[in-house]
Amino acid sequence: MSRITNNIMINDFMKNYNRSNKNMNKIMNQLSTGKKFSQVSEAPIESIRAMKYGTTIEFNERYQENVENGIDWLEITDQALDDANNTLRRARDLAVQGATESSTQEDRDKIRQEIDEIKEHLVQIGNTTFSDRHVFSGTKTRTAPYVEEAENDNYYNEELGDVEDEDFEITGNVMREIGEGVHMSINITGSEVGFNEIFQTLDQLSGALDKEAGDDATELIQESLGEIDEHIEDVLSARGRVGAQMNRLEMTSNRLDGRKISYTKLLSDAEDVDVAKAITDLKQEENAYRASLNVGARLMDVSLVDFLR
Amino acid sequence: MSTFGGIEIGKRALQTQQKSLDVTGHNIANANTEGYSRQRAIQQATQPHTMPGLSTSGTGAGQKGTGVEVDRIERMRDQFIDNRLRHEKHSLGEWSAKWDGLREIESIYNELEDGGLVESLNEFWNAFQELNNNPESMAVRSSVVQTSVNLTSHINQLDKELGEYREHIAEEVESNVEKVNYYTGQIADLNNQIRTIQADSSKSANDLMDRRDKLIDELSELADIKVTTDDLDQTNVSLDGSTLVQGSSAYNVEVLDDERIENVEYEHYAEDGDGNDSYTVPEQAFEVNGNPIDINGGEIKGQLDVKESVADQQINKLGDLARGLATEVNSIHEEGYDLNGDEGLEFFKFNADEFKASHLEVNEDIVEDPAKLAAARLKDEDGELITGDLDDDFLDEDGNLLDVGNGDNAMLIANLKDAGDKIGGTTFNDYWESEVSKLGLEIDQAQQFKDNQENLTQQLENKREEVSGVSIDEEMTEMIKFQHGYSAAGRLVSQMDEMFDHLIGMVR
Repeated sequence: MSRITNNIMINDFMKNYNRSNKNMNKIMNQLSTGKKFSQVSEAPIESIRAMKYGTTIEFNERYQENVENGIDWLEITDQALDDANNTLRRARDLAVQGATESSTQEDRDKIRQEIDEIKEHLVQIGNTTFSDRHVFSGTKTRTAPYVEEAENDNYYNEELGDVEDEDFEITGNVMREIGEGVHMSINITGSEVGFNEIFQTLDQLSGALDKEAGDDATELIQESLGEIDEHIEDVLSARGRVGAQMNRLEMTSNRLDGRKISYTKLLSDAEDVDVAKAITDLKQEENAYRASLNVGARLMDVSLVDFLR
Repeated sequence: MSTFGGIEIGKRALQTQQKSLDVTGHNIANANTEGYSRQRAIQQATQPHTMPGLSTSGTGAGQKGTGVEVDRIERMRDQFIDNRLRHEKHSLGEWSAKWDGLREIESIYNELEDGGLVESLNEFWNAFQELNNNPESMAVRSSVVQTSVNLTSHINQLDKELGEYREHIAEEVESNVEKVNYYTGQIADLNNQIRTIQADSSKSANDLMDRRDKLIDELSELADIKVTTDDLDQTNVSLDGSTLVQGSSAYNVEVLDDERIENVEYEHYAEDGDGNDSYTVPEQAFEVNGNPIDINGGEIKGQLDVKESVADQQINKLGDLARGLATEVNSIHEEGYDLNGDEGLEFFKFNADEFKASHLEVNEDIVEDPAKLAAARLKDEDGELITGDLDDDFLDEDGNLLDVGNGDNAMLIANLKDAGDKIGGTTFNDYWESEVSKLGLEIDQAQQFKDNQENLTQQLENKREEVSGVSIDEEMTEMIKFQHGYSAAGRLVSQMDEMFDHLIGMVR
């Protein structure tokens, strides 16, 4: 027969009491932090998963920021191209007026002046900046791509490089990462729009208007008119590309929003405590705790000593 | 048999019951003394007289009882349970120490709270994303440099804290060895006292043996000692084959500061290109009487294991991360060009000969001048990467870089975050997360073992209580029993007294 001594009862009671307390403390921590665990060792697999979700969400925000930054950049570009388009249309109207046989030299002088101003305005458009960065200069963002006074009919800023070369083009893609490993160029260079050629055409038009009226001048103006039409096409197609890029970014932004929601949910599933379950567990644990205190208090209180005279 | 024989029986009974009552009192007094074993007075009838009986023939003899005496006071103890309990205590000590120590590493890393290393890594990658978005901005460049310095400081700090913790454990091991020596000294001392007392074979040094057993219990939790008890009730203790206690002599365990050379093969960083380096790792060795011994169990073993884990974390885990980062980031950074149109410098450096996590820092030149961050990555018309000194096409009149809006190199560095083959066959984040997770699993395992051992030892301790523990109710019952025995013996003496009264009165 095994003997049960007072100390065995006390030891067992203390063991159960401690276990109840430990469990209740754990649930209390969970409820007060809202998290299932506070150290990795409490749930090595789940907590690492939660960390990964956290990182995914953090970088999702990063990509979202990159996308928004790209959209801002493209909006500035789009406005500039819209302006360029309108300005070119005005130049075209003027060229049509200048080409009419009825226009006097005086009229054509006025037209020429306006054409010169239009050119200056277009140079400004070519040098559009977005927070101190020239959007049409490729990656040479701190260098204005165009100069107001042409050198050898060339409006490219000499600092861009070997601008004398006939094949010279502004290059360089400004890239944004819009998703894990997904990179996208958000810029369009002045050469792709064809600003230099626009300026040259306008120069040619201005020169033609300066000439005395006659077949020669009209022919030159007609020629410029044709070129302006082509430039308008080029600007429109550049705008189309900008629009497509913006669409892609908008779509990416929506996708990133969706991803954020689903990963936030996953993170919550992984690390957030199920409050209803925790409270139920707490209640159960509390009952066990009360019961053990009750029984302990009753049994440990009784002794043969009480019954001896 | 003399006339007064009856009185003598009464006296013996009184004395014996009293002695037994005293033993009960001793038990009650020590009901809550740790390590105390209950004692029992073994009563025995005294040597009877042989005498001729009246009714029997002259040669026949009757045996007449002469009363009672306490033969000995016995200690209720089960040696078998003791041995098992001590064996389990080796493991309990070991796993408790491991659990404690590994949790300390975990709280140094503190990965789930704000300020974990993964968070610092993420901030680092994020900063390079920002640099790609704004490579022209000096403000952004400064903040990228600051974030990078934060990352290296974080890594340095972890290495430093791990190093301090390792020293702390080494001290704990020493103080535990001191405890071992203290206990063995006490055991030898008690052996001596017990031998002296038990030289008289009728005496049993119960209380001293309890004390000795308690010391052995505590010793068992510290190290995997072997205990034997010889015929003379002398307890001998040995550790890994070397004697710690032999009778009344104790031999001290000495701690020797040793070191070992650990060779680390770098998957990555190596200035001289051989990819090897060696570390001097401080170690502790033990010897008894000049004989080297190993400690393979108990708290000390657990602490030694934790010390190894810490060294492994420092040298291999954190170290690999630091070297891997330096290698990968540098190799990209050196391919790029800074705002001054110069080739990228080494981004991370080790400020000492050893490529340790504690020596990792951001190149001072870059810290001083963030323009030296090589954010741009240049390609020629054929898409080939440009290296070496830049020609004038890429430079302005002052010789500075024209392509300041090019952040491709910064982006490439930021993309290391997702590069899956850079360290241990995975990404930097994943590498660290999985190391932290492994540590978490080890702690989890240690806790399970510790809990198991706790349950086991508690069960065995309860078993020991069953045999050795004092039950107050039981002692009360005993008390009443001896009390009645005493009263009855008293009545016997007074009855005798009355008889003598009559007898002596007759002579008057």
